[in-house]
Amino acid sequence: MRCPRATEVEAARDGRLAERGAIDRHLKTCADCRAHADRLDALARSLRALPDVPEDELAAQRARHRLLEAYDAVPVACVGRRGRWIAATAALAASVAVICLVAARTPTRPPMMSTVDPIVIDAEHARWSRIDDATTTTVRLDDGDARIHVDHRGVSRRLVVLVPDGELDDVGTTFLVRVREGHTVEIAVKDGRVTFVHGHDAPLLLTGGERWVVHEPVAAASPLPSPSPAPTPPAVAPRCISSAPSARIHEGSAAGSAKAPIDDELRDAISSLDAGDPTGASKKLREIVTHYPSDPRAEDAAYLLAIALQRASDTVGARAAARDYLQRFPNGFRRAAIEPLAR
Amino acid sequence: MALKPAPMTDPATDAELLARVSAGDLGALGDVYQRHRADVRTFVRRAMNGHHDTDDVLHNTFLTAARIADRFDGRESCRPWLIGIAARLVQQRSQKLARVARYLARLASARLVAHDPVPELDARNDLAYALGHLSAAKRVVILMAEVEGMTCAEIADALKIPIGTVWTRIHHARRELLAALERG
Repeated sequence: MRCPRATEVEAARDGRLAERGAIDRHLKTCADCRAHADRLDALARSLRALPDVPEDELAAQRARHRLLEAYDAVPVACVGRRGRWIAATAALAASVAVICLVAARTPTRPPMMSTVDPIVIDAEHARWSRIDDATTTTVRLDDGDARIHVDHRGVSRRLVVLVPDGELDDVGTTFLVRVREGHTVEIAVKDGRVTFVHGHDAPLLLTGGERWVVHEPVAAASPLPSPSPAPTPPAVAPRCISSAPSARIHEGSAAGSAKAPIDDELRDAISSLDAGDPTGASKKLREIVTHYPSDPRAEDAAYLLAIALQRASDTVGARAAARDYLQRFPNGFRRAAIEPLAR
Repeated sequence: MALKPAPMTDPATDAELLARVSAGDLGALGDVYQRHRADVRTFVRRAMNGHHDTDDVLHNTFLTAARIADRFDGRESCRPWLIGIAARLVQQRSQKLARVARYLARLASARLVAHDPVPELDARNDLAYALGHLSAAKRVVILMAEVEGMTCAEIADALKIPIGTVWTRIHHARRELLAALERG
Protein backbone atom coordinates (compact mmCIF):
# COMPACT_ATOMS: atom_id res chain seq x y z
CA MET A 1 0.00 0.00 0.00
CA ARG A 2 1.71 3.07 -1.20
CA CYS A 3 -1.25 5.49 -1.15
CA PRO A 4 -1.42 7.47 2.11
CA ARG A 5 -5.24 7.28 2.01
CA ALA A 6 -5.32 3.47 2.09
CA THR A 7 -6.15 3.48 5.80
CA GLU A 8 -9.37 5.32 4.99
CA VAL A 9 -10.57 2.31 2.98
CA GLU A 10 -10.76 0.20 6.10
CA ALA A 11 -12.09 3.09 8.16
CA ALA A 12 -14.95 3.53 5.69
CA ARG A 13 -15.66 -0.17 5.77
CA ASP A 14 -15.97 -0.15 9.57
CA GLY A 15 -18.18 2.94 9.69
CA ARG A 16 -15.47 5.13 11.18
CA LEU A 17 -15.81 7.89 8.58
CA ALA A 18 -18.54 10.45 9.03
CA GLU A 19 -18.62 11.06 5.29
CA ARG A 20 -17.53 8.38 2.86
CA GLY A 21 -18.23 10.16 -0.42
CA ALA A 22 -14.64 11.39 -0.64
CA ILE A 23 -13.09 7.96 -0.25
CA ASP A 24 -15.58 6.47 -2.72
CA ARG A 25 -14.52 9.07 -5.31
CA HIS A 26 -10.89 8.40 -4.47
CA LEU A 27 -11.38 4.65 -5.00
CA LYS A 28 -12.41 5.31 -8.59
CA THR A 29 -9.07 6.88 -9.39
CA CYS A 30 -6.57 5.13 -7.09
CA ALA A 31 -5.60 1.60 -8.14
CA ASP A 32 -3.66 1.08 -4.91
CA CYS A 33 -6.67 1.75 -2.67
CA ARG A 34 -8.98 -0.21 -4.96
CA ALA A 35 -6.67 -3.22 -4.68
CA HIS A 36 -6.70 -2.88 -0.90
CA ALA A 37 -10.50 -2.71 -0.88
CA ASP A 38 -10.63 -5.81 -3.06
CA ARG A 39 -8.32 -7.67 -0.67
CA LEU A 40 -10.55 -6.79 2.28
CA ASP A 41 -13.64 -7.93 0.34
CA ALA A 42 -11.92 -11.17 -0.61
CA LEU A 43 -10.92 -11.79 3.02
CA ALA A 44 -14.50 -11.28 4.18
CA ARG A 45 -15.82 -13.62 1.47
CA SER A 46 -13.28 -16.28 2.40
CA LEU A 47 -14.14 -16.03 6.08
CA ARG A 48 -17.83 -16.49 5.27
CA ALA A 49 -17.00 -19.48 3.07
CA LEU A 50 -14.93 -21.30 5.68
CA PRO A 51 -16.11 -24.90 5.87
CA ASP A 52 -17.96 -26.04 8.96
CA VAL A 53 -18.30 -29.49 10.43
CA PRO A 54 -21.93 -30.56 10.13
CA GLU A 55 -23.56 -32.08 13.18
CA ASP A 56 -25.82 -35.09 13.01
CA GLU A 57 -29.50 -34.62 13.76
CA LEU A 58 -29.51 -37.00 16.70
CA ALA A 59 -26.77 -35.10 18.50
CA ALA A 60 -28.71 -31.89 17.88
CA GLN A 61 -31.88 -33.37 19.36
CA ARG A 62 -29.97 -34.65 22.39
CA ALA A 63 -28.44 -31.25 22.91
CA ARG A 64 -31.89 -29.66 22.65
CA HIS A 65 -33.26 -32.10 25.21
CA ARG A 66 -30.35 -31.33 27.57
CA LEU A 67 -30.97 -27.61 27.20
CA LEU A 68 -34.68 -27.87 27.97
CA GLU A 69 -34.00 -30.12 30.94
CA ALA A 70 -31.39 -27.71 32.28
CA TYR A 71 -33.72 -24.73 31.92
CA ASP A 72 -36.63 -26.63 33.43
CA ALA A 73 -34.53 -27.66 36.41
CA VAL A 74 -33.71 -24.11 37.53
CA PRO A 75 -36.80 -22.02 36.91
CA VAL A 76 -36.30 -19.85 39.98
CA ALA A 77 -32.64 -20.01 40.93
CA CYS A 78 -31.53 -18.79 37.51
CA VAL A 79 -32.89 -15.30 37.74
CA GLY A 80 -29.61 -13.75 38.86
CA ARG A 81 -29.11 -10.40 40.51
CA ARG A 82 -32.34 -9.01 39.20
CA GLY A 83 -34.20 -12.01 40.57
CA ARG A 84 -32.62 -11.58 43.99
CA TRP A 85 -33.72 -7.96 43.98
CA ILE A 86 -37.24 -9.01 43.04
CA ALA A 87 -37.20 -11.66 45.77
CA ALA A 88 -36.08 -9.08 48.32
CA THR A 89 -38.86 -6.76 47.18
CA ALA A 90 -41.37 -9.61 47.40
CA ALA A 91 -40.20 -10.40 50.94
CA LEU A 92 -40.58 -6.76 51.95
CA ALA A 93 -43.98 -6.62 50.32
CA ALA A 94 -45.01 -9.78 52.14
CA SER A 95 -43.99 -8.24 55.48
CA VAL A 96 -46.09 -5.18 54.73
CA ALA A 97 -48.96 -7.42 53.71
CA VAL A 98 -48.77 -9.37 57.01
CA ILE A 99 -48.84 -6.11 59.01
CA CYS A 100 -51.85 -4.95 57.03
CA LEU A 101 -53.57 -8.29 57.63
CA VAL A 102 -53.05 -8.03 61.37
CA ALA A 103 -54.47 -4.50 61.32
CA ALA A 104 -57.57 -5.41 59.36
CA ARG A 105 -58.48 -9.09 59.37
CA THR A 106 -61.35 -8.64 56.96
CA PRO A 107 -61.54 -10.93 53.94
CA THR A 108 -61.23 -8.64 50.96
CA ARG A 109 -61.00 -9.05 47.26
CA PRO A 110 -57.53 -7.98 46.15
CA PRO A 111 -56.76 -5.73 43.19
CA MET A 112 -56.08 -7.52 39.94
CA MET A 113 -52.47 -8.48 39.23
CA SER A 114 -51.07 -6.84 42.35
CA THR A 115 -47.36 -6.22 42.04
CA VAL A 116 -46.59 -6.55 45.74
CA ASP A 117 -48.62 -9.61 46.58
CA PRO A 118 -46.71 -12.90 46.28
CA ILE A 119 -50.00 -14.50 45.20
CA VAL A 120 -51.14 -12.87 41.97
CA ILE A 121 -54.58 -13.78 40.68
CA ASP A 122 -55.82 -12.72 37.27
CA ALA A 123 -59.50 -13.61 37.11
CA GLU A 124 -61.19 -10.62 35.60
CA HIS A 125 -64.37 -12.27 34.34
CA ALA A 126 -64.57 -15.04 36.88
CA ARG A 127 -66.74 -15.45 39.98
CA TRP A 128 -64.32 -15.88 42.84
CA SER A 129 -63.35 -14.76 46.33
CA ARG A 130 -60.26 -14.80 48.47
CA ILE A 131 -59.67 -15.18 52.19
CA ASP A 132 -56.26 -14.76 53.81
CA ASP A 133 -55.32 -15.94 57.24
CA ALA A 134 -51.92 -16.03 58.94
CA THR A 135 -50.55 -18.96 56.95
CA THR A 136 -52.98 -19.78 54.17
CA THR A 137 -54.66 -18.02 51.32
CA THR A 138 -57.90 -19.67 50.25
CA VAL A 139 -59.27 -18.81 46.83
CA ARG A 140 -62.76 -19.98 45.98
CA LEU A 141 -63.37 -20.16 42.23
CA ASP A 142 -67.05 -20.68 41.40
CA ASP A 143 -66.94 -20.04 37.66
CA GLY A 144 -64.60 -18.74 34.99
CA ASP A 145 -60.87 -18.70 34.40
CA ALA A 146 -58.27 -17.84 37.02
CA ARG A 147 -54.59 -17.48 36.20
CA ILE A 148 -52.64 -17.75 39.42
CA HIS A 149 -48.98 -17.11 40.14
CA VAL A 150 -47.47 -17.82 43.52
CA ASP A 151 -43.99 -16.59 44.31
CA HIS A 152 -42.58 -18.68 47.13
CA ARG A 153 -39.17 -17.07 47.02
CA GLY A 154 -40.04 -14.38 49.50
CA VAL A 155 -42.72 -15.99 51.66
CA SER A 156 -43.95 -19.44 52.55
CA ARG A 157 -47.72 -19.08 52.35
CA ARG A 158 -49.93 -21.98 51.45
CA LEU A 159 -52.43 -21.44 48.68
CA VAL A 160 -55.57 -23.53 48.46
CA VAL A 161 -57.92 -23.12 45.52
CA LEU A 162 -61.41 -24.46 46.12
CA VAL A 163 -63.28 -25.39 42.97
CA PRO A 164 -66.88 -26.71 43.00
CA ASP A 165 -65.79 -30.30 42.53
CA GLY A 166 -62.41 -30.39 44.20
CA GLU A 167 -59.45 -28.62 45.67
CA LEU A 168 -55.99 -27.56 44.49
CA ASP A 169 -53.01 -27.17 46.73
CA ASP A 170 -50.24 -25.09 45.28
CA VAL A 171 -46.55 -25.58 45.96
CA GLY A 172 -45.23 -22.41 44.30
CA THR A 173 -46.10 -22.10 40.68
CA THR A 174 -47.95 -20.47 37.81
CA PHE A 175 -51.11 -22.17 36.69
CA LEU A 176 -54.53 -21.74 35.14
CA VAL A 177 -57.81 -23.13 36.51
CA ARG A 178 -60.94 -23.17 34.38
CA VAL A 179 -64.38 -23.86 35.88
CA ARG A 180 -67.61 -24.15 33.88
CA GLU A 181 -71.09 -24.74 35.32
CA GLY A 182 -69.89 -26.18 38.57
CA HIS A 183 -67.19 -28.40 37.06
CA THR A 184 -63.47 -28.01 36.75
CA VAL A 185 -62.73 -28.44 33.06
CA GLU A 186 -59.05 -27.59 32.84
CA ILE A 187 -55.93 -27.09 34.93
CA ALA A 188 -52.77 -26.09 33.12
CA VAL A 189 -49.54 -25.77 35.10
CA LYS A 190 -46.93 -23.54 33.55
CA ASP A 191 -44.24 -24.18 36.13
CA GLY A 192 -43.90 -25.52 39.65
CA ARG A 193 -46.26 -28.13 41.10
CA VAL A 194 -49.94 -28.35 41.93
CA THR A 195 -51.80 -31.10 43.74
CA PHE A 196 -55.37 -31.55 42.57
CA VAL A 197 -57.98 -33.56 44.45
CA HIS A 198 -60.93 -34.14 42.16
CA GLY A 199 -64.04 -35.34 43.98
CA HIS A 200 -63.11 -38.45 45.92
CA ASP A 201 -60.24 -39.40 43.63
CA ALA A 202 -56.69 -39.84 44.79
CA PRO A 203 -54.60 -36.62 44.74
CA LEU A 204 -53.04 -35.92 41.38
CA LEU A 205 -49.68 -34.16 41.10
CA LEU A 206 -49.31 -31.83 38.12
CA THR A 207 -45.91 -30.37 37.30
CA GLY A 208 -44.72 -27.65 34.93
CA GLY A 209 -45.99 -28.09 31.37
CA GLU A 210 -48.69 -30.59 32.37
CA ARG A 211 -52.37 -30.10 31.85
CA TRP A 212 -55.49 -31.77 33.16
CA VAL A 213 -58.62 -31.53 31.10
CA VAL A 214 -62.02 -33.07 31.33
CA HIS A 215 -63.22 -34.70 28.15
CA GLU A 216 -66.92 -34.41 28.90
CA PRO A 217 -68.68 -31.91 26.64
CA VAL A 218 -69.58 -28.84 28.70
CA ALA A 219 -72.23 -26.43 27.53
CA ALA A 220 -71.21 -22.80 27.05
CA ALA A 221 -67.57 -23.65 27.57
CA SER A 222 -64.99 -21.35 26.11
CA PRO A 223 -63.19 -22.96 23.17
CA LEU A 224 -60.75 -25.55 24.43
CA PRO A 225 -58.33 -27.21 22.05
CA SER A 226 -59.79 -30.45 20.82
CA PRO A 227 -57.52 -33.38 21.58
CA SER A 228 -58.37 -35.23 18.44
CA PRO A 229 -60.72 -35.17 15.49
CA ALA A 230 -61.51 -38.78 16.31
CA PRO A 231 -64.97 -39.39 17.78
CA THR A 232 -65.02 -39.14 21.55
CA PRO A 233 -67.18 -41.50 23.65
CA PRO A 234 -69.89 -39.60 25.52
CA ALA A 235 -68.89 -40.13 29.15
CA VAL A 236 -65.17 -40.45 29.38
CA ALA A 237 -63.56 -40.20 32.77
CA PRO A 238 -61.67 -37.00 33.55
CA ARG A 239 -58.02 -37.43 32.70
CA CYS A 240 -54.81 -35.53 33.02
CA ILE A 241 -52.69 -35.27 29.95
CA SER A 242 -49.06 -34.30 30.06
CA SER A 243 -47.79 -31.88 27.46
CA ALA A 244 -44.31 -31.70 28.97
CA PRO A 245 -41.28 -33.22 27.27
CA SER A 246 -41.00 -35.66 30.15
CA ALA A 247 -43.96 -37.47 28.60
CA ARG A 248 -45.56 -38.59 31.81
CA ILE A 249 -49.25 -39.33 31.99
CA HIS A 250 -51.44 -39.31 35.06
CA GLU A 251 -54.94 -40.65 35.00
CA GLY A 252 -57.70 -39.79 37.42
CA SER A 253 -59.62 -42.87 38.44
CA ALA A 254 -63.25 -41.87 38.13
CA ALA A 255 -65.41 -43.95 40.43
CA GLY A 256 -67.45 -46.53 38.62
CA SER A 257 -65.83 -46.15 35.25
CA ALA A 258 -65.07 -49.41 33.48
CA LYS A 259 -61.43 -49.96 32.76
CA ALA A 260 -60.76 -50.58 29.05
CA PRO A 261 -57.93 -52.87 27.90
CA ILE A 262 -56.21 -49.86 26.38
CA ASP A 263 -55.69 -48.49 29.90
CA ASP A 264 -53.54 -51.44 30.90
CA GLU A 265 -51.68 -51.49 27.61
CA LEU A 266 -50.95 -47.79 27.79
CA ARG A 267 -49.86 -48.02 31.39
CA ASP A 268 -47.61 -50.94 30.51
CA ALA A 269 -46.04 -48.98 27.64
CA ILE A 270 -45.46 -45.94 29.85
CA SER A 271 -43.87 -48.16 32.50
CA SER A 272 -41.47 -49.48 29.86
CA LEU A 273 -40.64 -45.94 28.80
CA ASP A 274 -40.08 -44.80 32.38
CA ALA A 275 -37.95 -47.91 33.02
CA GLY A 276 -35.58 -46.92 30.23
CA ASP A 277 -36.79 -49.38 27.60
CA PRO A 278 -37.86 -47.06 24.76
CA THR A 279 -37.64 -49.83 22.15
CA GLY A 280 -40.05 -52.07 24.06
CA ALA A 281 -42.29 -49.09 24.78
CA SER A 282 -42.40 -48.09 21.12
CA LYS A 283 -43.57 -51.58 20.09
CA LYS A 284 -46.38 -51.51 22.65
CA LEU A 285 -47.36 -47.98 21.72
CA ARG A 286 -47.44 -48.80 18.02
CA GLU A 287 -49.86 -51.64 18.76
CA ILE A 288 -52.10 -49.31 20.73
CA VAL A 289 -52.08 -46.75 17.94
CA THR A 290 -52.93 -49.46 15.41
CA HIS A 291 -55.57 -51.32 17.42
CA TYR A 292 -57.41 -48.37 18.95
CA PRO A 293 -57.30 -45.67 16.27
CA SER A 294 -60.52 -43.97 17.39
CA ASP A 295 -59.98 -44.14 21.14
CA PRO A 296 -59.23 -40.73 22.68
CA ARG A 297 -56.13 -42.22 24.30
CA ALA A 298 -54.74 -42.99 20.86
CA GLU A 299 -53.47 -39.42 20.80
CA ASP A 300 -51.43 -40.02 23.96
CA ALA A 301 -50.08 -43.21 22.46
CA ALA A 302 -49.21 -41.56 19.14
CA TYR A 303 -47.35 -38.78 20.94
CA LEU A 304 -45.49 -41.15 23.23
CA LEU A 305 -44.61 -43.35 20.27
CA ALA A 306 -42.66 -40.49 18.70
CA ILE A 307 -40.94 -39.78 22.03
CA ALA A 308 -40.09 -43.44 22.57
CA LEU A 309 -38.59 -43.77 19.10
CA GLN A 310 -36.56 -40.62 19.64
CA ARG A 311 -35.24 -41.99 22.92
CA ALA A 312 -34.43 -45.25 21.14
CA SER A 313 -32.25 -43.21 18.74
CA ASP A 314 -34.55 -44.06 15.83
CA THR A 315 -34.60 -40.55 14.38
CA VAL A 316 -36.25 -41.56 11.12
CA GLY A 317 -38.97 -43.52 12.92
CA ALA A 318 -39.51 -40.68 15.40
CA ARG A 319 -39.91 -38.19 12.57
CA ALA A 320 -42.42 -40.45 10.79
CA ALA A 321 -44.35 -40.96 14.04
CA ALA A 322 -44.37 -37.22 14.73
CA ARG A 323 -45.68 -36.50 11.23
CA ASP A 324 -48.31 -39.17 11.65
CA TYR A 325 -49.40 -37.54 14.92
CA LEU A 326 -49.67 -34.13 13.27
CA GLN A 327 -51.72 -35.57 10.43
CA ARG A 328 -54.09 -37.49 12.64
CA PHE A 329 -54.44 -34.88 15.37
CA PRO A 330 -54.03 -31.49 13.72
CA ASN A 331 -55.43 -29.77 16.83
CA GLY A 332 -53.77 -32.11 19.29
CA PHE A 333 -52.51 -30.98 22.68
CA ARG A 334 -48.92 -31.91 21.90
CA ARG A 335 -48.76 -30.21 18.55
CA ALA A 336 -46.23 -27.59 19.68
CA ALA A 337 -44.12 -30.16 21.49
CA ILE A 338 -44.01 -32.61 18.62
CA GLU A 339 -43.51 -30.24 15.69
CA PRO A 340 -39.72 -30.01 16.15
CA LEU A 341 -39.52 -33.80 15.95
CA ALA A 342 -41.40 -33.82 12.65
CA ARG A 343 -38.89 -31.53 10.92
CA MET B 1 -61.11 -41.52 4.32
CA ALA B 2 -58.12 -39.41 3.39
CA LEU B 3 -56.56 -37.52 6.25
CA LYS B 4 -56.31 -33.78 5.88
CA PRO B 5 -52.88 -32.24 6.31
CA ALA B 6 -52.34 -30.05 9.35
CA PRO B 7 -53.38 -26.42 8.76
CA MET B 8 -50.49 -24.08 8.06
CA THR B 9 -50.02 -21.32 10.61
CA ASP B 10 -47.67 -18.37 10.56
CA PRO B 11 -44.55 -19.21 12.55
CA ALA B 12 -44.03 -17.09 15.64
CA THR B 13 -41.48 -14.30 15.36
CA ASP B 14 -38.30 -14.40 17.42
CA ALA B 15 -39.65 -11.63 19.63
CA GLU B 16 -42.86 -13.57 20.29
CA LEU B 17 -40.94 -16.73 21.07
CA LEU B 18 -38.60 -14.95 23.47
CA ALA B 19 -41.54 -13.29 25.19
CA ARG B 20 -42.96 -16.76 25.74
CA VAL B 21 -39.57 -18.02 26.95
CA SER B 22 -39.41 -15.21 29.51
CA ALA B 23 -42.83 -16.34 30.72
CA GLY B 24 -41.39 -19.83 31.28
CA ASP B 25 -42.55 -21.56 28.08
CA LEU B 26 -40.16 -24.44 27.48
CA GLY B 27 -41.57 -25.21 24.05
CA ALA B 28 -40.75 -21.69 22.87
CA LEU B 29 -37.16 -22.12 24.01
CA GLY B 30 -37.03 -25.33 21.99
CA ASP B 31 -38.27 -23.43 18.93
CA VAL B 32 -35.68 -20.67 19.34
CA TYR B 33 -33.01 -23.33 19.70
CA GLN B 34 -34.23 -25.20 16.64
CA ARG B 35 -34.29 -22.01 14.57
CA HIS B 36 -30.87 -20.56 15.43
CA ARG B 37 -28.83 -23.44 16.71
CA ALA B 38 -26.93 -24.20 13.51
CA ASP B 39 -25.87 -20.57 12.93
CA VAL B 40 -24.82 -19.99 16.53
CA ARG B 41 -22.95 -23.27 16.59
CA THR B 42 -21.02 -22.36 13.45
CA PHE B 43 -20.04 -19.05 15.01
CA VAL B 44 -19.00 -20.65 18.31
CA ARG B 45 -17.01 -23.36 16.55
CA ARG B 46 -15.06 -20.81 14.54
CA ALA B 47 -14.64 -18.41 17.45
CA MET B 48 -13.29 -21.24 19.61
CA ASN B 49 -11.11 -22.58 16.85
CA GLY B 50 -12.97 -25.88 16.72
CA HIS B 51 -12.34 -26.61 20.40
CA HIS B 52 -14.20 -29.52 21.93
CA ASP B 53 -15.92 -27.18 24.42
CA THR B 54 -18.02 -25.79 21.57
CA ASP B 55 -21.17 -27.64 22.60
CA ASP B 56 -20.86 -26.47 26.22
CA VAL B 57 -20.63 -22.86 25.13
CA LEU B 58 -23.54 -23.37 22.73
CA HIS B 59 -25.60 -24.88 25.55
CA ASN B 60 -24.76 -21.99 27.87
CA THR B 61 -25.56 -19.47 25.15
CA PHE B 62 -29.16 -20.65 24.88
CA LEU B 63 -29.47 -21.12 28.63
CA THR B 64 -28.28 -17.55 29.17
CA ALA B 65 -30.62 -16.32 26.44
CA ALA B 66 -33.53 -18.02 28.21
CA ARG B 67 -32.60 -16.40 31.51
CA ILE B 68 -32.44 -12.91 30.05
CA ALA B 69 -35.13 -13.34 27.40
CA ASP B 70 -37.10 -10.45 28.87
CA ARG B 71 -34.24 -8.11 27.88
CA PHE B 72 -34.45 -8.90 24.16
CA ASP B 73 -35.15 -5.66 22.32
CA GLY B 74 -37.72 -7.15 19.96
CA ARG B 75 -35.87 -6.77 16.66
CA GLU B 76 -36.86 -9.01 13.78
CA SER B 77 -34.17 -11.65 14.27
CA CYS B 78 -32.58 -12.58 17.57
CA ARG B 79 -29.55 -14.06 15.84
CA PRO B 80 -27.21 -11.06 16.44
CA TRP B 81 -28.35 -11.00 20.07
CA LEU B 82 -27.56 -14.71 20.45
CA ILE B 83 -24.22 -14.22 18.70
CA GLY B 84 -23.43 -11.43 21.18
CA ILE B 85 -24.18 -13.73 24.12
CA ALA B 86 -22.08 -16.49 22.57
CA ALA B 87 -19.20 -14.08 21.91
CA ARG B 88 -19.13 -12.96 25.54
CA LEU B 89 -19.11 -16.58 26.72
CA VAL B 90 -16.27 -17.44 24.33
CA GLN B 91 -14.26 -14.51 25.66
CA GLN B 92 -14.95 -15.38 29.29
CA ARG B 93 -13.84 -18.93 28.63
CA SER B 94 -10.63 -17.90 26.88
CA GLN B 95 -9.81 -15.43 29.67
CA LYS B 96 -10.34 -18.18 32.21
CA LEU B 97 -8.07 -20.55 30.31
CA ALA B 98 -5.42 -17.86 29.98
CA ARG B 99 -5.50 -17.21 33.72
CA VAL B 100 -5.09 -20.92 34.44
CA ALA B 101 -2.20 -21.14 31.96
CA ARG B 102 -0.45 -18.17 33.56
CA TYR B 103 -0.92 -19.64 37.02
CA LEU B 104 0.47 -23.00 35.94
CA ALA B 105 3.39 -21.29 34.24
CA ARG B 106 4.25 -19.50 37.45
CA LEU B 107 4.02 -22.74 39.41
CA ALA B 108 6.27 -24.60 37.03
CA SER B 109 8.59 -21.63 36.46
CA ALA B 110 8.39 -22.51 32.83
CA ARG B 111 6.58 -21.15 29.82
CA LEU B 112 3.34 -22.99 29.33
CA VAL B 113 1.06 -22.34 26.44
CA ALA B 114 -2.61 -23.31 26.47
CA HIS B 115 -2.41 -24.86 23.08
CA ASP B 116 -4.48 -27.61 21.55
CA PRO B 117 -2.88 -29.01 18.37
CA VAL B 118 -6.00 -30.79 17.13
CA PRO B 119 -7.74 -27.74 15.62
CA GLU B 120 -4.62 -27.00 13.62
CA LEU B 121 -4.61 -30.48 12.20
CA ASP B 122 -8.29 -30.06 11.39
CA ALA B 123 -7.79 -26.69 9.71
CA ARG B 124 -8.67 -27.30 6.11
CA ASN B 125 -7.04 -24.28 4.56
CA ASP B 126 -4.58 -21.48 5.22
CA LEU B 127 -7.27 -19.06 6.29
CA ALA B 128 -8.71 -21.45 8.86
CA TYR B 129 -5.18 -21.99 10.15
CA ALA B 130 -4.50 -18.24 10.33
CA LEU B 131 -7.85 -17.61 12.03
CA GLY B 132 -6.95 -20.23 14.61
CA HIS B 133 -3.75 -18.36 15.40
CA LEU B 134 -5.48 -15.07 16.16
CA SER B 135 -6.11 -14.25 19.80
CA ALA B 136 -9.64 -15.16 20.91
CA ALA B 137 -10.52 -11.48 21.30
CA LYS B 138 -9.56 -10.65 17.72
CA ARG B 139 -11.08 -13.81 16.32
CA VAL B 140 -14.43 -13.08 17.94
CA VAL B 141 -14.70 -9.52 16.61
CA ILE B 142 -13.56 -10.33 13.07
CA LEU B 143 -16.13 -13.14 12.86
CA MET B 144 -18.86 -10.91 14.25
CA ALA B 145 -18.03 -8.20 11.72
CA GLU B 146 -17.22 -10.09 8.56
CA VAL B 147 -19.23 -13.30 8.90
CA GLU B 148 -22.20 -12.23 11.00
CA GLY B 149 -22.39 -8.80 9.35
CA MET B 150 -22.71 -6.93 12.64
CA THR B 151 -21.73 -3.28 12.75
CA CYS B 152 -18.89 -2.15 15.00
CA ALA B 153 -21.41 -0.38 17.22
CA GLU B 154 -23.42 -3.60 17.60
CA ILE B 155 -20.27 -5.55 18.42
CA ALA B 156 -19.20 -2.98 21.01
CA ASP B 157 -22.63 -3.13 22.57
CA ALA B 158 -22.70 -6.93 22.61
CA LEU B 159 -19.23 -7.30 24.11
CA LYS B 160 -19.53 -4.28 26.41
CA ILE B 161 -16.29 -2.78 25.16
CA PRO B 162 -15.53 0.65 23.66
CA ILE B 163 -16.09 0.95 19.91
CA GLY B 164 -12.48 2.08 19.53
CA THR B 165 -11.36 -1.27 20.89
CA VAL B 166 -13.55 -3.02 18.30
CA TRP B 167 -12.00 -0.98 15.48
CA THR B 168 -8.51 -1.74 16.72
CA ARG B 169 -9.13 -5.47 17.09
CA ILE B 170 -10.72 -5.77 13.66
CA HIS B 171 -7.87 -3.84 12.07
CA HIS B 172 -5.19 -6.03 13.67
CA ALA B 173 -7.13 -9.20 12.91
CA ARG B 174 -7.37 -8.28 9.23
CA ARG B 175 -3.71 -7.36 9.09
CA GLU B 176 -2.63 -10.65 10.68
CA LEU B 177 -4.92 -12.72 8.45
CA LEU B 178 -3.79 -10.98 5.26
CA ALA B 179 -0.14 -11.30 6.27
CA ALA B 180 -0.56 -15.01 7.03
CA LEU B 181 -2.27 -15.60 3.71
CA GLU B 182 0.44 -13.75 1.82
CA ARG B 183 3.12 -15.79 3.57
CA GLY B 184 1.19 -18.86 2.42
